[in-house]
Amino acid sequence: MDAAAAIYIAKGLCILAMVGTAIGQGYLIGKGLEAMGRNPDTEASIFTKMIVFVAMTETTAIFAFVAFFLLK
Amino acid sequence: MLEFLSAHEDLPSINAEELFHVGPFTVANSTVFTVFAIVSFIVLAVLARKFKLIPTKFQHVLEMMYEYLLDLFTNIVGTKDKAKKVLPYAGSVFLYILFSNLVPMIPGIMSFTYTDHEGVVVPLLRGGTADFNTTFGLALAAVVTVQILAISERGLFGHLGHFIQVKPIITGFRKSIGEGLIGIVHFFVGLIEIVGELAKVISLSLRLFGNMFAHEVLTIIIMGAIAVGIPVIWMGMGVLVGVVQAIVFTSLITVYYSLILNKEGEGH
Repeated sequence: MDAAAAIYIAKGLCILAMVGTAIGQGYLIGKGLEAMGRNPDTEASIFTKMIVFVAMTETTAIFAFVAFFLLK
Repeated sequence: MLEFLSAHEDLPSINAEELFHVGPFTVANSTVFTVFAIVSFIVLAVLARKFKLIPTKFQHVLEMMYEYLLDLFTNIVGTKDKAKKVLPYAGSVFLYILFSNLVPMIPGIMSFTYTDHEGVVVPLLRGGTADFNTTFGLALAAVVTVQILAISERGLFGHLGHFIQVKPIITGFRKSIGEGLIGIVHFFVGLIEIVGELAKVISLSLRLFGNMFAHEVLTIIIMGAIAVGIPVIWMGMGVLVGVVQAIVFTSLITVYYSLILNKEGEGH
């Protein structure tokens, strides 16, 4: 196996980071919607917090993205 | 077949392009952007000095921004007094990141190019936060500032004692061997917190850089596929990401700061 092929396999493995991020975001948004349904008065405050934490969850995928582009 | 619908462009490199050298320093295109941001903020500061009792439209915008930031920090820190303490630093970091995230999205502003001696054409501007050096600097400065604030709150030895916990070992062994062993565990936990501080710098800077760089790269990929209509949605998403990332960065700084204040309140 030559080096270029190994890099392509590594890039493919980087994509696996999406699995964890997807699970995390789904859980977060699901729980957020549940909380909004239970207490619609606090919808605005929960929604902003939800967006912020979704952005934080995205960090792991972004780390993988940086690694993806560092592989050359 | 639909080749005319797409706009091809090279992917940007992960490093900022170097323009020229001033003495030992390298001026990259993100440096030019940073200088541009500083000049804009100086102009804004000069304009904002003339505050009137009956606000103009411009003053309204500034006051809204101030109130929004104060609200955000009050939610995190707890009281308005403490929020006013962090606002000057965290608020200016917020405005700088917001500026660097959103200004590159103004159409045309990134189209200026610079040709160096060897005839290589590079873009003159690059969003400040799309360069890892800028975000690393911001994150390092934020963590160092929090450490300095912590020292001013607890005293130098009080703060160092938080990381190198010798005291629990001594007091623990005086009581019994079991508590002394727990003290040794506390000592190693304290050492791990030093690594934690370094990890904060890395995660803060990589998060901001990664998001902005990812947006730049994906814009070019989407434009390469189809350049009519679809990019509008993507640019709207970009504005959202830019604002959210600025909020995330500043809230995290404020959280780190409030952790110190809370520990002080508990009387540790």
